[in-house]
Amino acid sequence: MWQQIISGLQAGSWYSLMALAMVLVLKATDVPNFAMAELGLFPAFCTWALIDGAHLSWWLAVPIGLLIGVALSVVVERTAIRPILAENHFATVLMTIAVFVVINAVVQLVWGSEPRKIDSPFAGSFTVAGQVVAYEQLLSIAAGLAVMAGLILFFRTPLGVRMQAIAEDRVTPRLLGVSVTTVFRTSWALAGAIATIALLLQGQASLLTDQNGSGLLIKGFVAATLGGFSSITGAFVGGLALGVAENLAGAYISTSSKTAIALLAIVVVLSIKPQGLFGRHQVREV
Amino acid sequence: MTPLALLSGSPRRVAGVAGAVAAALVLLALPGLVNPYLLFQACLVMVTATAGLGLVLIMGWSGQIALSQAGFLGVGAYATTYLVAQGWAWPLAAVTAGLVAALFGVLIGLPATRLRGFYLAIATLAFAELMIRVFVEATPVTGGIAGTAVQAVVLPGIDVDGSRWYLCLAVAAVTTAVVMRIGRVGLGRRLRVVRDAEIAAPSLGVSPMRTKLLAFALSAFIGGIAGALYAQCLSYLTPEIFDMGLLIEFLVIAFLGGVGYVAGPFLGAVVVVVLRDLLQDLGSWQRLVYGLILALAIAFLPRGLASLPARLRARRPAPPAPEPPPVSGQADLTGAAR
Amino acid sequence: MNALELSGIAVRFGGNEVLKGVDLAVGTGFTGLIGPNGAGKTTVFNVVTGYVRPVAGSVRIAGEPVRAGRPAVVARRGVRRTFQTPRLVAELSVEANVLAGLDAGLPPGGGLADFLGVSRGARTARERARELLDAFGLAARAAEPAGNLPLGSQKIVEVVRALAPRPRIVLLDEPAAGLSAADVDRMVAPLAEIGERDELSILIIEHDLELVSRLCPRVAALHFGRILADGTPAEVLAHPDVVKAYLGAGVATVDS
Ligand SMILES: Nc1ncnc2c1ncn2[C@@H]1O[C@H](COP(=O)(O)OP(=O)(O)OP(=O)(O)O)[C@@H](O)[C@H]1O
Ligand SMILES: [Mg+2]
Repeated sequence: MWQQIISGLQAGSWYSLMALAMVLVLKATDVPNFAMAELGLFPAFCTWALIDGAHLSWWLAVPIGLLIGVALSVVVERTAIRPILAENHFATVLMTIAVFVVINAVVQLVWGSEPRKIDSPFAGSFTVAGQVVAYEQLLSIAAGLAVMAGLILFFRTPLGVRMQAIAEDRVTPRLLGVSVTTVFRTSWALAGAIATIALLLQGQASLLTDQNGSGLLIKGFVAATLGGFSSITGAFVGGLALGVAENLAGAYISTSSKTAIALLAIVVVLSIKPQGLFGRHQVREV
Repeated sequence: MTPLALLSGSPRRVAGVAGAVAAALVLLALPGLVNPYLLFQACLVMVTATAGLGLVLIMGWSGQIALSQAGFLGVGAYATTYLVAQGWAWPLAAVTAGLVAALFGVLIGLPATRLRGFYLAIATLAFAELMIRVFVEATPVTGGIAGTAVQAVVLPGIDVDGSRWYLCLAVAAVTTAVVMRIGRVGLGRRLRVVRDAEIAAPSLGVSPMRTKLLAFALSAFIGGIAGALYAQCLSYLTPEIFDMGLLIEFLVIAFLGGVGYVAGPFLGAVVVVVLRDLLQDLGSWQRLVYGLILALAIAFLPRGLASLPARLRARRPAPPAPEPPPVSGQADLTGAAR
Repeated sequence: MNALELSGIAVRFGGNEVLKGVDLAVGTGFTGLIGPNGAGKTTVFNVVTGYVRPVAGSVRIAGEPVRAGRPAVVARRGVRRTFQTPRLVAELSVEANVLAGLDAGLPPGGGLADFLGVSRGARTARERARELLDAFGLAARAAEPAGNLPLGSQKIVEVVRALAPRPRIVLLDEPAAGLSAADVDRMVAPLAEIGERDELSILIIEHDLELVSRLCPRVAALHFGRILADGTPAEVLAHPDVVKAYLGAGVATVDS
């Protein structure tokens, strides 16, 4: 039971991170990003290559991987998303799907479909009250907590406040001299780094394959939806809850129920409370 | 209108009618004109275009981002195959399968009509993924991971390839006619009112909820029927056929062709089937090319290939006519729920 | 009996009391509803048409109470409205936009007959749409996409769409705002004629007080969610509270 909960919290942290990245992009640019997980997958594979192929140390390779994640997100935002943002949201959603397909295909072309494992200095485990806890598990949970806390603090800084203002109203902040470009770029850059962290953690605790992205994408969406897509804490709690629920269902119901839980959760939550468990109700203009 | 009256029309009209008749004759005679491989490719065009017509209804006209069409195709394919194996006649099995898909469409549509924009996209995507789990688990009907074989339909006096072609052609033709007609009558109007002027709809006595639900049911029905045909082309069904890859293909078809136009899915389907054939040995390159085409289509041709004639025509006259209105907001992704 | 009767209507959005007990009776002919910006005029329309649920009070159409929250039902009972900003389908033709106003009138099962092209209702609907577009001088542009029309003409199309199903009660939300003088005449003349011929009850929100005085034998002035005055245009416009509301609108909104 405890074992299940700990692994649930570990996986849940990855989902939380993914959800946080999505919420970040959504809050600032109002784009639901279907490419979010792939934006972390590519840099995670790069990191693996740096460690496994170029024999760099983990401490060097991971920062480089994060930088690649930031750069990739910024480039995608600039070249694919921003030019069509004025078009309509429909086009933007599909563009993120197109980016998803392209990055995934590139990963497949470069690294094939074999599973990889990122070697990290955090192998091993310790025992607490008769329960075995892996250092990786602690690392994932700590990283999730740290990123959430960091984001909450970030949204209190002047830039963070502006980002929120822009998400809610595109015109007024511009009149006040807030640069939309800066806000867009910052949010995508941060989200790229967070998505990379999620995939790195998954890649060093379990395995890294070209399929990890789509798996985490759905989980991240579920977590963000549970959280209502507007709240950082909501997204974080949503991810942890999903991870734990999945692991418990996998252990006590059946392994195949594990995948179904996330999908059922999303359909049920959206039908009962369309604005998510933590979301605010939005008022419509007549 | 008598044929004579048609012939007495303007030369352009006569040319149009003559072209249509010639095209119909070529399509009918196709099994004698091309080799079985090309004929099979033509079948795939008809099947994917039929499925795409469902997307014209739901995404193009009712403006809902529904990412569930691959799931409906799967429902249609498995249900038809199962019913035929139970001894049902194919047409009856296919229509029943379409109704089953429509039922699923209403099931997903019920919560989905309360959602807007990306919430709808996510819910429908989750539904499609859930359907794959169902196909894996429902072993007695679907054969699970191992899959199930499809019994080929053979029309009297025609070989298997020819039968498949006429089946696909007939279904695609009927679906096209029905969807075109829907676009012109009250239902087509109501779909667009709900898309572009949802707030005004109830004041016209039109229920947005019921209209959206109808759009879901109809597009799912069309998806189910397309699935029944797709099964004929595949001859063996496994769950992963209906995964995200198929969905992406549909999105390419719908957007490359033009999601608001009946001709759109056919244009898109021709491109996709030709590409798939050209790139089939290239594995991941195929997906890369799909992704790039989708991205380019969205960036440079947001209303699709089918919008090109209208755009060119709009450009020709001396005082440039105002650009057609932008693809009218379609779905409003900013608000979550009502 | 009055076509439309509001009694004690109160509406609150969060803590914002927008209507505070509105009583209003609308009979045959034109009735004007005036008031400064934010007075709650559009909200009155939203309550009548079922878009907004009042926290107190009742709405009666021809003496029958209306259940709030069912706008489509209200529409089918012969109440039609326009919107402050026109809400047309840009890509559909002008005629199709008017036909959209007639769709709900088809008998049950009419959808199938319409689909098969054998619906008599659909044919008479087309005739009705042509006749009205003709009356409002838009027949020549009937086949054009509505989005191509200038805003003024779009507002007229909305009025035509509201009139098409021969409603009993028509609510027009600032129909003349943004229209040229010529467009105003093009809309008002046929509207007055049809209103008289069909004995319609027309409630019209309008800021152009000259137009209101000309068109409406009766006017009600709304301010901060209350009816300040109700009577002939001359009476209402001379009413001291109304004068104060209009002159002091800027000040009043600030200290509310
Ligand atoms: N759906 C709503 N939610 C919250 N507040 C609303 C809503 N609708 C209207 N209001 C508020 O109610 C008040 C009255 O609005 P209303 O639109 O009825 O005014 P109006 O008299 O039509 O003004 P105008 O002349 O500017 O059209 C305004 O302060 C407005 O902000
Ligand atoms: Mg108003």
